[in-house]
Amino acid sequence: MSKWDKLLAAAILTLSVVSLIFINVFAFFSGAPDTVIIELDGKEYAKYPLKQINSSKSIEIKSEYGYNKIELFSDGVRVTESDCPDKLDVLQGKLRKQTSISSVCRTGW
Amino acid sequence: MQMRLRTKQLVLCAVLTALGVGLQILESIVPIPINLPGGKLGLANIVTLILLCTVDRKAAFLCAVLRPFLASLLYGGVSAMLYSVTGSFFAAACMMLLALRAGKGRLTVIGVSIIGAVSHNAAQTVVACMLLSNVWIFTYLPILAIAACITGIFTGYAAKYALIVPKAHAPLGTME
Repeated sequence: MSKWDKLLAAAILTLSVVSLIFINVFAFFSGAPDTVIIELDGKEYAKYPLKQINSSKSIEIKSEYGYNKIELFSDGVRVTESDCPDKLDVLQGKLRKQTSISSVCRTGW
Repeated sequence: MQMRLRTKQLVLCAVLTALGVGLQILESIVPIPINLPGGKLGLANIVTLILLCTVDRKAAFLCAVLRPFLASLLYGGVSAMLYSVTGSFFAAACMMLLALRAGKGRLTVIGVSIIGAVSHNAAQTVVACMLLSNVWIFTYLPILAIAACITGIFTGYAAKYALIVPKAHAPLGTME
């Protein structure tokens, strides 16, 4: 491992860490989202304004693709149950930020 | 003599492509303890690195495009193929252009491997962004880049130690 190799690795690591910090700070300041939009097969399935929810509310979605249970909170949303094999969406936990989650059962990356 | 060398190169290229397909399938079967979607060891990149150092760039590039294509036909699927072919193509292009032109004499095979791993993940993130039509996927790239850096060093060392063998059996054509 030469000096340049170490330099390259260090540059990539620093760049990644800095952008991670930047992303987290940016997401922190953008605040909690006010609506949750659930899309199914690319089409809008349901829309819930989060301000009307006091503690929590759970919804069940049954479709030709499978079963999902989604729990809404006043400050975020999470997937509680899913019948897909890897359970990545359940493991992702509660989402508070202005992002979007795709509950897709992966076949491969 | 020239003909013999070409045949030898061709055979080496074919054997290494087959080895790469094997490694890629092996790596998707063996589970990894860390739950990181898109993150993997990248064992198949060792093959591209070996070809890049022993035969020539063209052979390495051809192998890098054919390998994921064959591997996802055997194991995986069309969506997996999209990710791995683009990733591998872009990684091979980056390794050749960036590492071998700009970093000639400076970077060793480990540095080239890091560039390959990171560019592979970058290309896959672009594909994921287009397929899921979601720009927020890019916020996941730094995490993948950190993982790629570590696995890149690992595969780089693997290629470095694997390269001791072809160097011992010298007549492989344009070897440095």
